[in-house]
Amino acid sequence: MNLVEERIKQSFSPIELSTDLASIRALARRRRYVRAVSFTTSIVALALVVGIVVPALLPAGHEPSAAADTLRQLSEVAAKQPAVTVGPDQYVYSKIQARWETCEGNDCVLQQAVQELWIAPDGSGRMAGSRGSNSYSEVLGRGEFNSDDLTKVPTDVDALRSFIRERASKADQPLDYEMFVVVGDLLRESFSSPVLYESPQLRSALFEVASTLPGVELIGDTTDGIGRPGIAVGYTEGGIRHELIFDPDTSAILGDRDVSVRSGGTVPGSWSAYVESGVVSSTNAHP
Amino acid sequence: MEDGFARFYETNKDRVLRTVYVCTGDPHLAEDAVSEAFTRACSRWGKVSRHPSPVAWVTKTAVNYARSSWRRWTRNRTGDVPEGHYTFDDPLDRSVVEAVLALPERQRQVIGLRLLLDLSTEQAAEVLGVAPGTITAHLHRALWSLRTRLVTEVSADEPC
Repeated sequence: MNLVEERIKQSFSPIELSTDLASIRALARRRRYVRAVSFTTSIVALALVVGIVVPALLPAGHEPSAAADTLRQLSEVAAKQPAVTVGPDQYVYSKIQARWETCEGNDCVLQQAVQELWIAPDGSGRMAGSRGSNSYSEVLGRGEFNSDDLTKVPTDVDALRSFIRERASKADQPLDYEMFVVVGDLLRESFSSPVLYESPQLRSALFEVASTLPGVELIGDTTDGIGRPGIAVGYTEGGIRHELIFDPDTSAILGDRDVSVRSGGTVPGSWSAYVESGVVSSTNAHP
Repeated sequence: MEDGFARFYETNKDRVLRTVYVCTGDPHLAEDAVSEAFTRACSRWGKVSRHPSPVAWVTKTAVNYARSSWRRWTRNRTGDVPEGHYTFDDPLDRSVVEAVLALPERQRQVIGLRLLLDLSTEQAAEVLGVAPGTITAHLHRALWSLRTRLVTEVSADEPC
């Protein structure tokens, strides 16, 4: 082995995973428990309930055509939303909440993150919130929020599909799945980035593109991580169904989560709720 | 079965973390993703243990996990973990770590899989879904780039 390769190995060698084996096993045991409870509950339900009620207890009918219909409806709803203008001295405020589970040995606890963002059209603003026991507040200068040039995202459906396909093709994932992920990323961006926040046409086009992706499933009526009702679509990859939840009345994204296909239970550490957003006049203001 | 997982975990957890760190460039995200991937492996160890390369399975799972969900989104948005600027303890040679993290994504992946995880060219190709020749080419380019950069830094540091 040559000198550079040896230096690379040595330089990374002090990096060690802090999670211990007992914590990994504790989390795994809890998931097996969830799976067992889920299975038992299903059996009891099937034994007690007959007729038309039973299908409602089974996993939602994940028909691609039903998903496409729902996404096209969301596209129409999005197109009817009023355009919003964010002035140069204004900010798009957004609040995101997420929860996940961590274990220390056999003691498992739910952790929570909350993030508030105030983003101006020039990419400046403030972010504040908490992650675990750490809280933070940080002012960002012009352009610092813009990790992507979102002004290049086209609103024409065909052009947008090509844009998403090109971006997805770089990710070394199944293309349709990754396109679904990119659509989700852009819808999340539209929650808090001024460029996308202003454009109902773009959100409409994103739903239109999603409606043409093979493999997208309709999950149906559900509630997000903080209990708000919505409608969900998902894409299953690697035994995990990645779900996006929307408000059917406004098409706004409410939340996302990962669901274990085997257990039907939410994978700990994998949901977020897009709590609130709006246009405000300062980095301390709320809608 | 569990002893088998314990050996697997203790043998591989750190080098998987180093690899995922190199792939994502984000230590906090890498820790989360690797813990999640080993948890999934533990949950289905009977199946994962029969995989041709369980360590490749865990690494791929961790990288995929880091790619999606809100973690990916918040990371892309902010570009870094906010306050506290979480980092690993000082590595032996910070300049090497920074040089590796500055490489294009595919080259970082190959450095991680081939050098830090010690996968064969064929195994790395399987993980990334590319031809073995692609792995060889990216590794060559990455090492050439690193040699150039590191030698330049050494030269620049030498007293006149």
